[in-house]
Amino acid sequence: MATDVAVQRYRKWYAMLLRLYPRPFRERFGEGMAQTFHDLCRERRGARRGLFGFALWIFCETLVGIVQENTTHMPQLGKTVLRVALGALAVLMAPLAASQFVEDWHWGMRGFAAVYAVFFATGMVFALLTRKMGSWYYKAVVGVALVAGVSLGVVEHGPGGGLGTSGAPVVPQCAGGGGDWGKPGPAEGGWAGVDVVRDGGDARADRRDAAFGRAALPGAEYGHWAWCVHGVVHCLRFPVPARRFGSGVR
Amino acid sequence: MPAPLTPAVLHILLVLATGERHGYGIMKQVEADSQGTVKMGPGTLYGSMGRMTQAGLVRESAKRVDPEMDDERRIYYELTNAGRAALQGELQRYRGVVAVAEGRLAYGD
Repeated sequence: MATDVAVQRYRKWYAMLLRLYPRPFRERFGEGMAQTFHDLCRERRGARRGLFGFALWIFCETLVGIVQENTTHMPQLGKTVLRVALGALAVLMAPLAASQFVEDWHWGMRGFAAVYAVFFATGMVFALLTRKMGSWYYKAVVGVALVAGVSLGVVEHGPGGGLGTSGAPVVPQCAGGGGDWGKPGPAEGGWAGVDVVRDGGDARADRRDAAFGRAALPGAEYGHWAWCVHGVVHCLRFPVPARRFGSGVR
Repeated sequence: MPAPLTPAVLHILLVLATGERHGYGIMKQVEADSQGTVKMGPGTLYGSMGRMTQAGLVRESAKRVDPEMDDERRIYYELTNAGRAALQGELQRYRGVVAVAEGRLAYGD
């Protein structure tokens, strides 16, 4: 059952949440919203019903409104950044949830932050490359190339490869061990994906389908650059015998 | 032809068509009018109110105490002429949709 203390506490938290609205909106409707929330809480208390679930729903509903109001007054680039940031966060939920069920998955805060940064960077590259593309086909091509490129960096780092082999993915291994560059694994699949998209882009560009080339090539090149940056960082931190480069790094 | 109104905006206009109300009053009346099928929280209600105020469909009327509640002063909202016209236009649109639907169903029978 809700008590006066609980109502006051939730009202205080709700007032804090309302500060996230843009100032003009908050100044105009903030007081009314806080009052309405208080009225709803008192109604629940009067009906001797619990407050927690109800407050959670109202907080989530208000949070959606906050995002909408903030994006309404944002320039286009700001909206893109916010969308990509939220999208990357949503994608990050997959490894976050999976880490609860997969044994030996120890990314830690730093690891998740690094992977989030990779997802965010990829999302921004995708958004910027495809912002003027009218065709979903071309967007899909860029998406495939980027995912393939990122898979090179994210899945296959360090000794023993990625999730499919040791169960210990990229980030902790980056932080703690060297890599076997020549070992077949998901990287080769990702690399092949990048090559296929790049070659497809080349072929279509040769046939004067310039838009396809423009769509495919930057995505594939992003994959190449992701792989090269990964290689440089990896070499700086963990010297790898030169003979291994021949089979793994192109 | 104006764009169709969102369900939230339509319900708010319907409530305010009977007179001015404060935020909590609008919410409860929307819930009652829709027989509990439409439940809006403060985020949806005031987000819609913001857009409706900007479009000139509603306006703040006064800040006063609701005699049926406590002694706290509440902001009341009322429909403008533009809001009433928008509601009538939407109802007209609904009538047109219903007429087409009934014609189709009769043809199907």
